[in-house]
Amino acid sequence: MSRRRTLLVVSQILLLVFVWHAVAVRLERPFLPEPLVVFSTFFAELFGEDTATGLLTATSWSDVQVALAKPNGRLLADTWASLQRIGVSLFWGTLLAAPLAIATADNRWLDRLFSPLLYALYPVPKIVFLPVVIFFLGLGDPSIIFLIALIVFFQIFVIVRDSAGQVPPQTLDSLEALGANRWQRLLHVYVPLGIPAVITALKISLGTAIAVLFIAESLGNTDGLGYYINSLQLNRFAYNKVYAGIVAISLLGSTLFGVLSWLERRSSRWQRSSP
Amino acid sequence: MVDVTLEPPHVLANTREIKTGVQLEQVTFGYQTPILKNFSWQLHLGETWAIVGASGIGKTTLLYLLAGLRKPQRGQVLYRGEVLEKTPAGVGLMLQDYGLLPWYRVEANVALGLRLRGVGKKERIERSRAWLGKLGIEHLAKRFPLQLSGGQRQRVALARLLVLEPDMMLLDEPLSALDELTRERLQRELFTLTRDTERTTVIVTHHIEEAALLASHVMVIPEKTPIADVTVLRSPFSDRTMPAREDPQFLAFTRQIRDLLGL
Repeated sequence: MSRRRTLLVVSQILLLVFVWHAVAVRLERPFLPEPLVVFSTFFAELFGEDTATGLLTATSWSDVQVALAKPNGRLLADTWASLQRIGVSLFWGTLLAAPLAIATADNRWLDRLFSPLLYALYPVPKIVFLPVVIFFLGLGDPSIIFLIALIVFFQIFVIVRDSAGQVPPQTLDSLEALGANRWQRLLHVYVPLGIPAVITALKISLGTAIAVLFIAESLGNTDGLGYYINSLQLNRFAYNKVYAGIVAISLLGSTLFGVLSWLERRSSRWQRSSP
Repeated sequence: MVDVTLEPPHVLANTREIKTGVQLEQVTFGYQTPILKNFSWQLHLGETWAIVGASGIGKTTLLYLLAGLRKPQRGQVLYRGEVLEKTPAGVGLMLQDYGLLPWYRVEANVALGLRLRGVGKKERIERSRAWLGKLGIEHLAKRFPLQLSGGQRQRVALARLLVLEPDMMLLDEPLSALDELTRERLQRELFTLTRDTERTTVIVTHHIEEAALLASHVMVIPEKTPIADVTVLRSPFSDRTMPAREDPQFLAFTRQIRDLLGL
């Protein structure tokens, strides 16, 4: 990101926080706490009350070390649980979809076998299978991971298949004339073309993946950000903490999105017409 | 002008006794409609052929058959006396859009053929650099193909072809995408490269002047499908200097080609 763009993003976030603050002060209702309260709750929940206070009042490096040694908060554990679920799901979705997409692009027989069905199922919102998945796999990690991997799978399959299908026949012909065999064709054409497509697909499906994660974690789970937010909302009306959870899930989403955007730019440098 | 040093292709050195480069025997080929019918053709080593004819007539298909990328439905294509199964190591093909891989930098594109043939990294880099230098595009080594002009891309494709030191070059409209200035400059370079006595070259073009300038033999394909009978003209210029465009003999030669094409 250029410096100018970073400045723009930061100032827009600050503006949003300011508007939030103004509305909260004006409304004076418990269900909309002021941003400063939310952020301090967020840090306390993330690092634990003692660590957060210790960090905020630290005057020396040893104070910081003492503060960090105190136990972390619940929110950190829940964020970590959610991050792991997302990571494992994206991994499996990619591992299954990308090779299949490339294989169908390269082989007419495989294409006829898989593509029509997969393209037909692509527009179906996979979240509707949540109850069915729970019937089979029960509540908990296997269901959540399966469902998110399924969503990612379809997204990756369609995008990678489309981009691999657009390789000009001349490119393949000239590669063959240079003496490339089947594996070399995969290595030099479909893999370099597939990697940016996979990253784009992950970026596109990230929003849905986190939404599904949130819903699935709310159902009978005992950790994760979805569970964190919902358990507080339903049982205790701890508004500050609910907002802290929302901040955490937003940060998780935008961090992953940022990493994927960076990878996308890096892997598609060749598509830019200026050096 | 860029100075191109001529190097005899390696493979040929030991096989001088075989005179015929490629032979098409009664070849029939087509997709939905037939393109070639009982077509025979013989190329001798060291000759430079230009194929001229209307677009869509099947000139490129002819190159694909010579490269072994398409198999004849009837008849056969022989390369050095053997039936062609796939592109032989000594044959280099350059397609109209150059067929460069856009995701590889220029240096990787040029070295690709060597890499596919299992040449070691160090040698690959050395040989590619040498050709980039000879074609005057050393400074573009780190660029991606989409960051190059048409003329630069054309040179990269040429470097990718020449680094393999082919004894036969098949070029499909190699200069068609270029501006007049670059085109004339590269015509000179190509002339020098093709007049390497041992190297056989086939250039597909719809540019009549270019065919007359570069070729020792011009094959004129009449506008009648499928291709069965063609006229072959021998260039009146067979020496090592490119003919002058305003030379009356050259003008007469191009006139002859135009007449055959019905222009």
